Amino acid sequence: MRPTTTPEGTRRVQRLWLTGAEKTLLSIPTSFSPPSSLLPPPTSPNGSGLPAARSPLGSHLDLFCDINPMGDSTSPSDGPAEPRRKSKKPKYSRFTQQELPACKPLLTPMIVVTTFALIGIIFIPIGLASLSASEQVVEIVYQYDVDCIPEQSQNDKVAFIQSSVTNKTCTRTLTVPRHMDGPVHIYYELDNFYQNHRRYVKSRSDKQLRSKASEKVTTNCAPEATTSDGSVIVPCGLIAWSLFNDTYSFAIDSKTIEVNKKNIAWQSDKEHKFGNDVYPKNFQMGGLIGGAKLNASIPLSEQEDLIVWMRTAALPKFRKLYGRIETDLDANEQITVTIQNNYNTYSFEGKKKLVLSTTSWIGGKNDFLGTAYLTVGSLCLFLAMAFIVLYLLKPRTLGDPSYLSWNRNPDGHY
Amino acid sequence: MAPGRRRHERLRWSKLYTFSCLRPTVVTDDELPHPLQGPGYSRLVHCNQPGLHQKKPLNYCTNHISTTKYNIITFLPKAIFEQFRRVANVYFLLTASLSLTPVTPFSAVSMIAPLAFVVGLSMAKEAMEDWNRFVQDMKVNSRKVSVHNGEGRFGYKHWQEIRVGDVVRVEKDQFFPADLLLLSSSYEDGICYVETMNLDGETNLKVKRSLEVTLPLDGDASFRHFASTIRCEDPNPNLYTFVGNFECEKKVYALDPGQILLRDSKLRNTTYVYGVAIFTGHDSKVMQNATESPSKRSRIEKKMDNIIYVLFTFLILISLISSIGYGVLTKFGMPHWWYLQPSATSYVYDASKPVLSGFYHLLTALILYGYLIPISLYVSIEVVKVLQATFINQDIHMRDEDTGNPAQARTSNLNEELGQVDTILSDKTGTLTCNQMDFLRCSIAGVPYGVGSSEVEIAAVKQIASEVSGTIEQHSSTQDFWEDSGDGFGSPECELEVGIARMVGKPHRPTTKGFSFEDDRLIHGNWAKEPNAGTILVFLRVLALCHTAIAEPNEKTGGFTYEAESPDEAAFLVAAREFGFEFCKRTQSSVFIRERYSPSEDPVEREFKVLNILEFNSKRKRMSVILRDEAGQIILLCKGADRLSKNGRTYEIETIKHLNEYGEAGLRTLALAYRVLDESEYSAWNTEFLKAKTTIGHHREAELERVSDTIERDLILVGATAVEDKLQKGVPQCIDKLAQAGLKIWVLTGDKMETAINIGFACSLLRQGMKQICLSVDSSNILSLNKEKAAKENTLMQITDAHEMVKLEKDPNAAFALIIDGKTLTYALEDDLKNQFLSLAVNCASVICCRVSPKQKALVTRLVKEGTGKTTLAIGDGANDVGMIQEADIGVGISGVEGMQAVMASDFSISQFRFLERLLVVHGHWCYKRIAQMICYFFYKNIAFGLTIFYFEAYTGFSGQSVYDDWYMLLFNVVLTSLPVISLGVFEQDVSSEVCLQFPALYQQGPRNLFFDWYRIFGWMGNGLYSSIAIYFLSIQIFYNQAFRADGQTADMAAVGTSMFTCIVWTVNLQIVLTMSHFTWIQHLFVWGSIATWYLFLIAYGMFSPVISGNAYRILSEALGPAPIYWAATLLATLSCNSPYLVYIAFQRALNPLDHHVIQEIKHYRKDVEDQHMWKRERSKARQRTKIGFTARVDAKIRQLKRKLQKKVSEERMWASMATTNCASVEAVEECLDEEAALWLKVAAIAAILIAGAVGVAIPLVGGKGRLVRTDGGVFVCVKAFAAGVVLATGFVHMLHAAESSLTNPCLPDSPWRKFPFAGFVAMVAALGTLVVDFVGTQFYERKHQEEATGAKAAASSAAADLEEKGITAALLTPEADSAGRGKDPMHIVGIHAHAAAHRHSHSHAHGACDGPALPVRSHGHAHEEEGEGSSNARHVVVSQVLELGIVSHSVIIGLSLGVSQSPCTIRPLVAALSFHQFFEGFALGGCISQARFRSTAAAMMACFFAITTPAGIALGAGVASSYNPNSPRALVMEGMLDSMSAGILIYMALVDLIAADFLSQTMSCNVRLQVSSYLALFLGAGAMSALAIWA
Repeated sequence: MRPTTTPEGTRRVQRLWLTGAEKTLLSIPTSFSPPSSLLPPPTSPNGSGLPAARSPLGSHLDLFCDINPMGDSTSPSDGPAEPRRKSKKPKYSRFTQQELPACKPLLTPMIVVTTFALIGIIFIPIGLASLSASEQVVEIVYQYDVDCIPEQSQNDKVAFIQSSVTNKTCTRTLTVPRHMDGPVHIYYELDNFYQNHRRYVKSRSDKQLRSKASEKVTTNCAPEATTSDGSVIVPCGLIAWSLFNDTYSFAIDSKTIEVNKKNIAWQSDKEHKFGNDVYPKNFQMGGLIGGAKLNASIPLSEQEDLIVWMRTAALPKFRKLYGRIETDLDANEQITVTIQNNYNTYSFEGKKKLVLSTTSWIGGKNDFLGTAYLTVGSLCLFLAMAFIVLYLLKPRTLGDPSYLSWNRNPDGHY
Repeated sequence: MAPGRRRHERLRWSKLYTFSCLRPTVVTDDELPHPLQGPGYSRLVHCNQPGLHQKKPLNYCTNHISTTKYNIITFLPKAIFEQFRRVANVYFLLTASLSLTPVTPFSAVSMIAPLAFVVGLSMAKEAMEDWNRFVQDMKVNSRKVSVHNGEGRFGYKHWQEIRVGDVVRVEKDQFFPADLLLLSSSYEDGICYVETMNLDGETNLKVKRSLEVTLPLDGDASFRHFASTIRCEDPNPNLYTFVGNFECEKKVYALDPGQILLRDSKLRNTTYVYGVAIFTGHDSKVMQNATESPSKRSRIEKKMDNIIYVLFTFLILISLISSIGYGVLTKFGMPHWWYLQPSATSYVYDASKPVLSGFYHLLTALILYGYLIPISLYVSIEVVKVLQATFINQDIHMRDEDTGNPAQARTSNLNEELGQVDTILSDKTGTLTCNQMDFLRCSIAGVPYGVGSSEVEIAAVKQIASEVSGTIEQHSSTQDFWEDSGDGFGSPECELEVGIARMVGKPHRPTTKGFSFEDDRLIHGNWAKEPNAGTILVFLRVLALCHTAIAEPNEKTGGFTYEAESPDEAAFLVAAREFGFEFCKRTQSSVFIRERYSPSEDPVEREFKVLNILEFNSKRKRMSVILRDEAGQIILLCKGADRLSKNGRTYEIETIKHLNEYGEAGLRTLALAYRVLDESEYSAWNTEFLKAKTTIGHHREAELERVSDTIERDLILVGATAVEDKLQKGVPQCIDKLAQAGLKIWVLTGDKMETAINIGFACSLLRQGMKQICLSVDSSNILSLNKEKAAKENTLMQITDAHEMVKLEKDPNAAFALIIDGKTLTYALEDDLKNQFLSLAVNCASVICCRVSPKQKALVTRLVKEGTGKTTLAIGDGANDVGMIQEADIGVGISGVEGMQAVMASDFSISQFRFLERLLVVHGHWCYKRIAQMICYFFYKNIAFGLTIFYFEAYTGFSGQSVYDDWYMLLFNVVLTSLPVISLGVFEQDVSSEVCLQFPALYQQGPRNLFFDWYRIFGWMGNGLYSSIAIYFLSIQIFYNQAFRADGQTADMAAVGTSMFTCIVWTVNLQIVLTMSHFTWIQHLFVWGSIATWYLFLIAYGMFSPVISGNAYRILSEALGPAPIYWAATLLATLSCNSPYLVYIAFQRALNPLDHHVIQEIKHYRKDVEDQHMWKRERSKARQRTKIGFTARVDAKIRQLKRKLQKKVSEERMWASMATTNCASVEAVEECLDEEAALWLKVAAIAAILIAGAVGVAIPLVGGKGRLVRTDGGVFVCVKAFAAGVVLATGFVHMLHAAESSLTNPCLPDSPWRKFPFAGFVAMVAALGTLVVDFVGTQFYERKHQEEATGAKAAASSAAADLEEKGITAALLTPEADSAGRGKDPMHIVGIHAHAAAHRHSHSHAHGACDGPALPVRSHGHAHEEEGEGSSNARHVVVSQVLELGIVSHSVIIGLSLGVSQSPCTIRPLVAALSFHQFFEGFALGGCISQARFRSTAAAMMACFFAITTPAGIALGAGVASSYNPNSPRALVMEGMLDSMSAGILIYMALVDLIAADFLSQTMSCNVRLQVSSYLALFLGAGAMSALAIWA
């Protein structure tokens, strides 16, 4: 940086000079500008010349960030630029000169160790909390896809399920392992079901679902867009068409337990995505029957099973909320489940499970989160220790010039 | 301006010029027209009939030029083609077009819009640049020039309207619009001056002359009926040749380059010229020279292409995996997936044709995974580069104060290349120098005048001061020595600094251009008061008269402006004017000057008649004028190169000294001289000269030179001038800094070699002590038939030789400078030589190419660029640099006073050379790191993001579904991660600009490519891979199938995708925080803002109608926000993704910090403030080892001084005895100095030698006494023979050699010591002396014995034994004594034989005869048994005593020499040798003593004396060792003398007294066995002792 190239600098210099011993120079007209190379620079350009004097507290304050006012010793603070000298002269600005005050954090050993230790200290409690939350969750999982096929049909499950005549009711008894606080969530879990397949995901019409007015919008719904005679199917598309249609009912000691099917879908979905004036139409009327049929007298916004189903899962193995049991279930209670085993997962060898689960603040049973937190946390603690050891074994004074490349290998710099 | 008005100014220049302008009046054979035939010579020009050339067959192009790449019609196709030459763009085009088909996973707009944006932006840039070129072309094309309209009238026309055959009139200081044939000029003889600056960078004026036949065409009207034809060569790029014929009125005249005025050169000093256009527009030579402006791409960008290829391969790979997986799943899984209705699918999902659907899916996958190759990368890089360029443009430190010109990045795509430059190729004139000559100093009559300092000196003084003085530090620690010029003002304690500042900072008085001379002794007429005013007068007159310039009255100032051929001359004239000798008028025959001797006086106008001008040419290197002054005296005034001064007399030594000083200061020097001619001499010479002038043929010049030389002799030297070729401001400093940053600098100039070398010195590219390798081929000296070939071979030879020389150089500090001229370069640049030339050039510290054409500049640049594979930067200011600027990786144009051609062709333009430092070291360094980090980061973030899409595919049956919403994907590159990375690319600073400048070594991180090597790139890619895996699997596992919140809902695809995307946004933004080291509010805003934007977007997007947002409707507010697990997952993924990088950088910083890390730390802890000494020290260390530049110059000087100092010290050491010696071997001799060890060794040596000597001498004595060893026995003889061998070898091998080496020691003066073999001589003298002593001693004993014998004659025979016992050695036998005395017995007289014989004799007496019958060996003596006995005893006494003397004396010496040695290395073998030698010498001596039958006390005394001497010598030596300098001449002489004396003594003793005595004795001759064993022993002893010399 050649400080004198700024007009302010030059003027300052002149002032400096005039205050010096050579009084005779006072007679020099102000327009006289001595060649800059012959002049003493006004101050150090970046303030590093005498910054200690300027901000003696700097070194104490900047634990992390050294807000070094780089330009504060140069012209701008010395007075506003005067444009009268040369109109072409650009105004000095810290921005254009890339001298904006900046914070330059330094990765000191202290910071490294602190960071890792801090991560460890934060993560381990989180992990423990998650694990304990996960521990509190009581879960009953019952896979019924094979169980609920009668012996004689085991060899041809698909035929069994596709037959409209077979009795698909199946009653089983589940034992509650631990006390389950209400509400107990009822899920069905499907496996190997590609709800995330591109063909499947696209096969819906949000506009149609939302309002009666756009009932005819079935852009992506083929082949379930219209019936063979051309009338629009509402709700159209493969997703709706393949709606899950197994049903569960629960009883304890032959006393039916109420399954609350309300509010299993997102409130916003009910209110805004599925119109309350949109009624199922021509649904499951085609040649192929996919899944559940819908009550044509109930608007879509009330068909919460559909709404839940329409939220496509991310993975081929997924659970969806079926309903809730609002009461507590005591330990060792025997729950009789009556399953209407209608849904065909046998074609693609998918499993079907019934899940009863309580939740905690992290949701369902999820040991992974806690384990991951514990792992990462302890790893970071270990790293903190390792770095402490490293810094003890190989101490390096920060800013030690002997580590500069020209001091380390005098023959060749790099 | 009417030509008539100027007519009075017309001068017949041919009268003045001797060489180039002289036209022989007779048409000669060798000027016959060129037989123009065949291809290449087809051009036909009908002068004054331009219309003829517009039709076929002549249809020559117009004078319209166009340098644009495109026109309106071709722009679109060509520019689009240019754009899609980028492979990435083709890919994007492909995906964009695919996005219109059903295979696309995304919407078409999201694919096409970015591509259109990128391509459109680049094309707009192209269009803009081309528009600028077009405007520039239009400017040139619409320049006006006066053209003949027919009927003798001239009118102005645009340049572009000129056709071949047009007659144009060009006025003074106008450019020629086309290549013209000169017809006539305002000068009567058709001469004009041309400046070819734009063509070749030469600033001196060139003279062109018209043909005689066209001379009458000197008015507009005369062209009315002008008609002629020109046949000439076809358009070609060769600037210096032209072949053609001019046909006029049925006569044919030959044309040569002397008549051709080239387009873009300028008419100077001539009012007007008429010319006819021969080559127009693109046919003109300068346009033929123009190379098409190439599109340049930076190295990083090229490498980025490679990375793109890698990624593209990867992309195809994963797409293939995807599509194969899809095909398989479709074939086997699809039929079972009833919910997809496989029976009613389109072709994309057709299970029955899995291969086909697999193929379609491949297309889908290529689009889907397109995030690996981010189109946004190009956009971001473009944006970043434009912003970087803006910063470069805005930098006020690169803005020229005077002109207000800022630096300008004309193309923004080379910013980062600035940080990787390895070689700078620089033009000279206008770039390094201002092409302004300043008269700075002179030396008149041996007195130097002028106190001004050249810039080089100023800088030198500053640097030396800053190195010498430690006290400056507190003031200037953070600044550089040139920047702190005046820091000492107002701080009186810093005297040195003030002194320098005074010297440097003295305000200049308002100076005249071209005159910086400061010395009151000469100006204002003060010179008249100087002691040698007469000489000064002559000197000033030479300045004012010896030139060829013209003075033009300047109306404004009333003074004169001078139009001179070279700026030097103008500077002289200005100087002369300032001194009071104003050159005011030149007429045909006279020069007028106004002389003013004092300011008060009125000037006197004097007229000098010019008789002859002997022009300057490069061979003579001088010019002279011969004048007749008003008094009628004829004087010759001469100025010329230094060689001239050889003729001088009086002030020669001083002047030469001054010339050298000026040269070292980087000034151009000329010596001035004069000579008074007498009339007769002149007229005689003049006739000869005139004859030479009219000589015909090619000998003319040689003849003229010869004649000129005859008059330019016996010159009287008056003085010398020093002119500073004003360097541009700050050039030496800048070169120094650049050199420190590890850059190599080549200078390519059109100038003459001498000028180039001068400038090399001035800007520290050359320095004293550098070895200059000048490659030049003088083809005129080659007589071979095939000149080309010979010249080439010569070049090759020179290159090879130079290469050898460079290779053999051992001194690491030696520096070579390569200077090569254009002609040689032609050969050196040929394919078979160029690599050798390059490797030579690379080994040289600086390279200067002189007299190179623009094309050659470009070729050299290409050679360096392609040969070394490193980045080159070319910098220049004129049109002649355009080729080089375009060829180099980076072209920098100086927007100075010359035309804009260079700037137009350049990539960056700066207004001063010195800004190059900041451009490279600050902006280049920053830009390189920014772009490198940015690109790496870009790949990282897109891999991290893109691969998660791929992983998800595996879970969707490879169906091509993305887990993310389309909008997320679109926003990722455009909004969420773009600004932080742009802020990294625009604002990142590893260190501040001051530190960059202070530590030029940091620049090397760029050329070494530390931040964009494959390790780093793959490291970043690996980091991306890791992050993608971590994010994906963590998210998937966390959100798996469980409820993700207390309400029991499970996560659908939108929730999983959004949360995964949140992790990615956090991770990549946190990563950039870890990458950056410089946070202004902008970075903070962008990084944290980006993250905030993501959440804001989610909220906003969630509020849109679900028709748009789909499943993302209210996702954050309703679904994810309230779920703690969402935030927990974000935290976990973000931190675990960034931890490895944190570990890496922490580890690197801890163990292997890079330079900028350490400097950051120093700055952070303010160590630079607290420990200024360290800071300053590191700053001075932080430069590349450089051999050029100012610092190198100072270093060399310091080295030189040190060497001198060393020399002086060693001289002083020797000064004790001798003067003016040069003794360099001091260190070599005393390599392993260890006084402690040496002392112990000496003690051991004393003991060992004492014992060895004592034992040696005791054995024969004791043995002899106790009869244990029979002194006359065979064994004893053998041992004694062995000892004799030892003594002999000691003499010859050890002592003589030692004497030799000390007497020929380099520390001794040559004369007399090396003139004569003193060692041998002294040895001989010593031997002879010993003989004398021997003889005298023997005599003495004999006489003594005789005296005793007279007293007891009777008892003599019986008393012999008693005498023996009494120890009185006496020879009793009179006859023998008589014979010796009288000379009867020749033995004693003739020396050795005599002795030997005597011994034999005595032995034969002593031991009688052989066993058994006594052999009558000699006729006499047998009868005198007793007498023989007595005589032999006397011999023995003498022998033993002489031997003792010799041995003792040399023992002292060897003892001494061992004692003074301080080096264990010499002592150790010496001890062994001495012990050995002492033992056997002792044995020999002991034998002699015992034979001499001394009394036991005497014998013991002698033995002891012997045994003690050497140890005593050692002790003595050790004692004086501290004060004794074995290399002092006195010690050397002493030692040498003593050594050679002992050698003589020992040799004599060994041969005469020991060997001859024993071996020629009777005992020996009788006993063969004894003979054999004795000889064996002798040889063994001699051999063994000699062998010891290997170690001793």
